[in-house]
Amino acid sequence: MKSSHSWKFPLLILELDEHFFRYALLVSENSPLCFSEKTFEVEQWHKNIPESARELKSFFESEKIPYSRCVISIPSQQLFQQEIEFQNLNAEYVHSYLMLQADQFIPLHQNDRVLIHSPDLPHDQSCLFAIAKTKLNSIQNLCQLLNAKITALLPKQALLKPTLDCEHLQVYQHNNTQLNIAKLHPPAIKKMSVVLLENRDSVSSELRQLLATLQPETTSSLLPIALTTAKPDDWTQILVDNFKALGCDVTLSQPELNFKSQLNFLNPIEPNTIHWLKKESFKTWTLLLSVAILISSSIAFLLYFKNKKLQELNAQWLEIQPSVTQLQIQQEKLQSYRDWTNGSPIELNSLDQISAIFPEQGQAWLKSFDLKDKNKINLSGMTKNNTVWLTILKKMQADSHISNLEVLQVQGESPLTFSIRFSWSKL
Amino acid sequence: MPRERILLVTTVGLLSLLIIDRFVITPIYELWQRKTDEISELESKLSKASLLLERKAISNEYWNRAQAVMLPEIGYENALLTCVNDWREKSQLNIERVKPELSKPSKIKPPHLICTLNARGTFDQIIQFLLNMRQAQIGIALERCELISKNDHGHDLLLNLRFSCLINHQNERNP
Repeated sequence: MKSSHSWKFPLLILELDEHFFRYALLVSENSPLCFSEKTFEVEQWHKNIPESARELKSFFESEKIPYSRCVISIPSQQLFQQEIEFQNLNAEYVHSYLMLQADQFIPLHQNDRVLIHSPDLPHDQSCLFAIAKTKLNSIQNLCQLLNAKITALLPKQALLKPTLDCEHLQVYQHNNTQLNIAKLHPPAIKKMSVVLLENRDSVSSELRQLLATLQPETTSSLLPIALTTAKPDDWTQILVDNFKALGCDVTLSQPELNFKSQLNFLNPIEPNTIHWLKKESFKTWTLLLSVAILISSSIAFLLYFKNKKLQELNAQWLEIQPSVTQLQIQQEKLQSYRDWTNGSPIELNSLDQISAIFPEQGQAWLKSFDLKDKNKINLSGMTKNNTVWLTILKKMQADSHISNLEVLQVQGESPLTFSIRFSWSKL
Repeated sequence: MPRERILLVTTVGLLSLLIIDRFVITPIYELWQRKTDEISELESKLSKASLLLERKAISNEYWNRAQAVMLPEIGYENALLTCVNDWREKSQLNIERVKPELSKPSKIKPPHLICTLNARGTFDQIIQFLLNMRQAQIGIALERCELISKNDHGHDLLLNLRFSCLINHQNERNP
């Protein structure tokens, strides 16, 4: 993987582990990478970010270490990496493809991860990184409190690229009190050790032990030693002498040492993340807007059709309204004429039928017949005796036209006079 | 997501929902409901109107019939008295008094002529008179009919009638 970005140096590389911080200052792209032995041991720094940030800041300021730009190095198990092939995919399918790849290879749920796409590999290859959202938030918070800009986010192992062979040992004289010794080979970086410069004898024996562990077992020859120091002093000469005494070929140089392996920089995380977030946000807003437009359009269409139907019905109504109104008035008037237009007045029917109730042989006489309010009839009359009266009364009670029959007065026995009142109803 | 952010998002979401409900959903729903009600009302009116129009021919027939049995607007009293005289001649009933009187203007009832009639005769004559009324070519509404026997045998009866007839007023002709 090659860097396609112009990096601004010095660059602080801050390694964040669960329980400690380490740092290295990168002066140029080819300068050696030596992590400090100064560690900030903290109890789960991400649980107390402000305190950790304060401690780091005060340390960097006291040591005059520039920290405005930093590369964050985190354990590789926290920054997932997957190399992928695009297979000449169209730009519109890239997103879906990346999501699919992430779902398949990255053990983080879609909602819990932030994907970082690094299209720096040659040809159609690319690299997909993912980090847990919570982790990224913690890191961003820390850097924000440090007033540092995250230039890149790297897995620990990505800082150095494996070299095929080990050419020499790198010894970096940090100051007059300590040495950092590293073997320029991937496994050797693990062997980065410190020799405390206390006195000539101790250095000699300590270097002997250290070289014994660092020298290759397979070859009998000793590896040359590249000693780097900013200001050669007496201690530098003592070291050179010591190494020579041990049979090593020593070269002395300024800190501008050529580092054989290229640093494996990734793309700066911030632009990608922001781009990704913007893309996501844009997509979300587009989706929301589309849904809103769809719903509004549906409602507008429904209202339009409803309105159209209403207009059609209104037009129909207006067309027939005059004749309907005329007919309604006509019907209302006909209703009010009903008393006069009824072809068979019930009053005359009642007279016919009531007279039929009375016996024809002159056993009973009607003295008065009074019909009012259309159906209320008062009758008075005479009968020869009580039997005839009772017969008439019985017939009247049985008549289905007659209701509310009241006997108002019965007087005498022979002749018997009576007065009754009832309602006459047409069946 | 931090708790503050959750609370903020929830609050903003709820407020947005309330605002959307107040200014968008409720007015649209009310508009929709109003349109639905109007459509329903119009459909009901059109349905009733179509039934009414189907019965237009029958209604017109009734209307013409009603017009035919009304007294003419000019000379309605004479027309009624002519009819009464005709019924009297046919029944030989002795009419003592006939008093036509125009009804008071009313919004409920159409203009009509109220007639009070006192007559004397036998039961047969009265029945004949009433039958003639029934068969008359004018519409009659009987308001009161009183028969009083002047003796115990019922041969001499008094008839007090109160009836009314419609007048074919100009306003009644073209509804």
